[in-house]
Amino acid sequence: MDGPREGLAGRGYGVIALRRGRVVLPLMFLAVAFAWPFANTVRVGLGWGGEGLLTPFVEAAGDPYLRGRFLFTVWQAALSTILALLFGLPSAYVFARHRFAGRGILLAAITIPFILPPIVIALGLLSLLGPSGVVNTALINVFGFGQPPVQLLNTFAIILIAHVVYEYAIVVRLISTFWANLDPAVNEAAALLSASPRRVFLTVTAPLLAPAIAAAAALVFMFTFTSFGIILILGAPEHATLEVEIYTLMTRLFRPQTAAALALTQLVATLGMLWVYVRLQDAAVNRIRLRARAAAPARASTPADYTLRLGAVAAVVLVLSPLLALLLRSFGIPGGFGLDGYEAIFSNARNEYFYISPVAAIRNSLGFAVATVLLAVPLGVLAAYGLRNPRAWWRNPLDALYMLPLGVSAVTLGLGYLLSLRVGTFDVRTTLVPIVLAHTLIAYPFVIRVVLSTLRAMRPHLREAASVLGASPVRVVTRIDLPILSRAILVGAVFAFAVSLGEFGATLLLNRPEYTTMPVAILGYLTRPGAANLASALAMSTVLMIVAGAGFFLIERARYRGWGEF
Amino acid sequence: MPPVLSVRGLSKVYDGGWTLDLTDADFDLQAGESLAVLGPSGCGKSTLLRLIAGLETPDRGEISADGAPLNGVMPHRRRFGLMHQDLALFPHLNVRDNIEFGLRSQRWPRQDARARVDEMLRLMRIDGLAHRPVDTLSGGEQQRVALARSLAPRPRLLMLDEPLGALDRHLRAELEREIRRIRDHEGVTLVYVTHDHDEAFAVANTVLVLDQGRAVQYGRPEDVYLNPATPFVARFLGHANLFPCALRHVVDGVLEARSVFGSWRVNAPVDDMLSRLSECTALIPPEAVSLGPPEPDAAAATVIEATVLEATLQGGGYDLALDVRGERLYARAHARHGEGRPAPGDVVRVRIDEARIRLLPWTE
Repeated sequence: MDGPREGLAGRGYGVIALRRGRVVLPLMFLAVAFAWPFANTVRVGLGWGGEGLLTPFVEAAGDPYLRGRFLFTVWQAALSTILALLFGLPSAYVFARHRFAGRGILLAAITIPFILPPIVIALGLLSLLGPSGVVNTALINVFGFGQPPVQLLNTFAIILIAHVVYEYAIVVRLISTFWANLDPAVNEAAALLSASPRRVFLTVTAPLLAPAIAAAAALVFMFTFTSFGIILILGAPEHATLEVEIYTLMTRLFRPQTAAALALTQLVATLGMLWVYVRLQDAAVNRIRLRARAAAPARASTPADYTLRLGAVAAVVLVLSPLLALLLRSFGIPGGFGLDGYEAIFSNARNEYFYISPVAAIRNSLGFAVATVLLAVPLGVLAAYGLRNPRAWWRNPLDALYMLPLGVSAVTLGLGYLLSLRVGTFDVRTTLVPIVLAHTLIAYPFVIRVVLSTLRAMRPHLREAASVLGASPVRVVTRIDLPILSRAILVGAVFAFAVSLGEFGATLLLNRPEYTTMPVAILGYLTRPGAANLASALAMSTVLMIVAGAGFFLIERARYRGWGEF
Repeated sequence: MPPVLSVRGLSKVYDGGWTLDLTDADFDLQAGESLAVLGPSGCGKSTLLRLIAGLETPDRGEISADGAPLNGVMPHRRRFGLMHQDLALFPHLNVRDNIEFGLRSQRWPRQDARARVDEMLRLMRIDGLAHRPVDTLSGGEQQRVALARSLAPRPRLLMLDEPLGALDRHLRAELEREIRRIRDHEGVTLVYVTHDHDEAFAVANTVLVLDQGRAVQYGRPEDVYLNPATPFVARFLGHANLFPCALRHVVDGVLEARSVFGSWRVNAPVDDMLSRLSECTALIPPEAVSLGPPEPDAAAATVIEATVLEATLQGGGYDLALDVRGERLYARAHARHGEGRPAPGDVVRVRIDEARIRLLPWTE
């Protein structure tokens, strides 16, 4: 209590190396895994040392096809955002203001699509709405149509549907959290001043909520702007986003300069959105009194309430239906029952040329996931320790720096690695290193977030108390820090594991046949003809879904609070 | 025997320029003694504890324990006990494991540690809570667990940082008694940090008063209370009646003091410093002021008329704020059956016992 000296606590003891390491090591990692590829992308994208400064940009901007790609990317992201908001807002209201049996489970359930790899969602929609999907099979069986009546594959519509399914959770969870925390006393005060419910909503609730809605919109826009797996699998060539175009330019057309120019364009947009999101979220938080009186939960009383609640339940069912369809289709349902797909992925029966061994893909994925956990968790924990002191002037810039990789799309990251990782004559790209680095880079900000919030919640004097009681610095770490952080570390590890398993864009760019992962293998099966390949893709997607879902279940069980707010 | 704690020439400057400077306030603490460090929030009390505990390093000066200097000795090797103001109970351990933590850290044999924990649980009267998680305990229970934990390894010196800070008044009194009981039972040497002078006087046999990082007074509680060293100390100890006063020599060694209440002879031996001053401050302790007509055998007293400004019931009597010729005088009056509360505007006769007025050699 005496004065401003908390930050100096414990100076003169503790492991000095660790103190330096908690800032230096994460920064070194960022330099290698992020700054260097990023710098190379900028160099190539700006045409440094090439034909001339900005030549790639000028060429890209002069190409009507690429201009079209840019406009389409913006257009589909905007439309997806509006649809996700329209679809999610009523549910957000219900989850914020209504209490009913199963509310918690539903809230957890809607989050499942968001934590799954986009490729699983894409396969889910394929299973639901594809030519041999659940809906078409059912319609054919019931009405005897000659051919599948729902023809959505490779249309703009199915992309939008997939985006809404994927982003629904963000809209609902972000907005309902703020909505639930809006102090009901403010509304009551307005009502007592003779405002009608409609007027209360328009003049009080909506303005207070606006920043939260805008923040959710910015986040959804950012995610859909860089949509990759969903578009690659469900869309037609004319639906290519910048992200898909960068991939094509780099791997098919070998035009790294143009790819880098597009990546930079995209980067400016996503970082801008990220910045807008952070600002808006601050604004939203400032407007609500957190932990005010618990928002008075409304029990449904009017028909309108029941309709809204029913609508929310229906929305949840709709959002989850692709996953269920995927599960059914992986067993051959409807139209029979079979384990062909699973048998295929757990045996190496075929000896096709270019055949992707499913067992190897699973093994590779697990290997990368373990490596990612082993790298991301220590880095994240160290970095969180470095950010612990809230008064240090460098804390906020450093925190922002650590979060920066989140604003960079996966394909851009992969591109940066492709452009960079050659040291002398040794080509690092032929090793496992770039894939592990990319996965770690995407995973470790999450580790920082969960560990940091637990560290901040820790009472400040626990370590000192232990020390005065005779505990050596090592014992303080093993008996105080680690036990208290164990849950957060576990959550971070599960998250890193799931992120690595599902990572698609960067891995695809960096892929080499011997390192093929599950998501890459799924794409491989899909691009090959034949029912057997489709069955393999569905089975492997289901395995991915179940592993990632189990991880999410573990996280929710750990009841780590705050994660629900992203 | 060398003192348990010895502090010499201690000072430390902090980042914002805030300084703890005890260079002119060396002190020793013998085994079994209790020192209260008293001062307002931000005066440096907790910082002093942190320096003694080794959680921070002084820029200058030396702290030694049992005759051995502690410079460079890490906190976990000092065998001191410190109870933080926020208690710092380990949230992942239950009550028993919290208390046992220090014993295990200091490598007590398992048997002895168990026995000591049981003893502590009994001593603090929390036997029933041994297996409870600490976050399910009430504030008072947590306080007891924290005290038991810091006491368990038999520290050479136990430091308590505002141990009763967060408790309500009723619990404070109870735990204060408890701390005294345990201090005597364990014979522990104690440093007790507080901003409450009643608490300090009740627990300690020496008091160190800090203000803005400097020591302003050090001594027995009685001396500190009766002869505060500065207006700050006087006000901090609850004295409200401080008045400027002029001094005049009547004959050698005898002074006459004149204040707004009149003038009186200072009969007590006058020290050197006072005899050279012409201005000083009169401190009228509450026990020197009484209401009503003079008693027949009363010593020399000044009797003046005063107007009641405010009367509040406090314990078994009234706290009165009186107006005496424009100055504000505070007094106590007994509440008697059948008599009403003095009302604002009432005129009362106030008697000031001249012998009890202290002249303090400073002016404000």
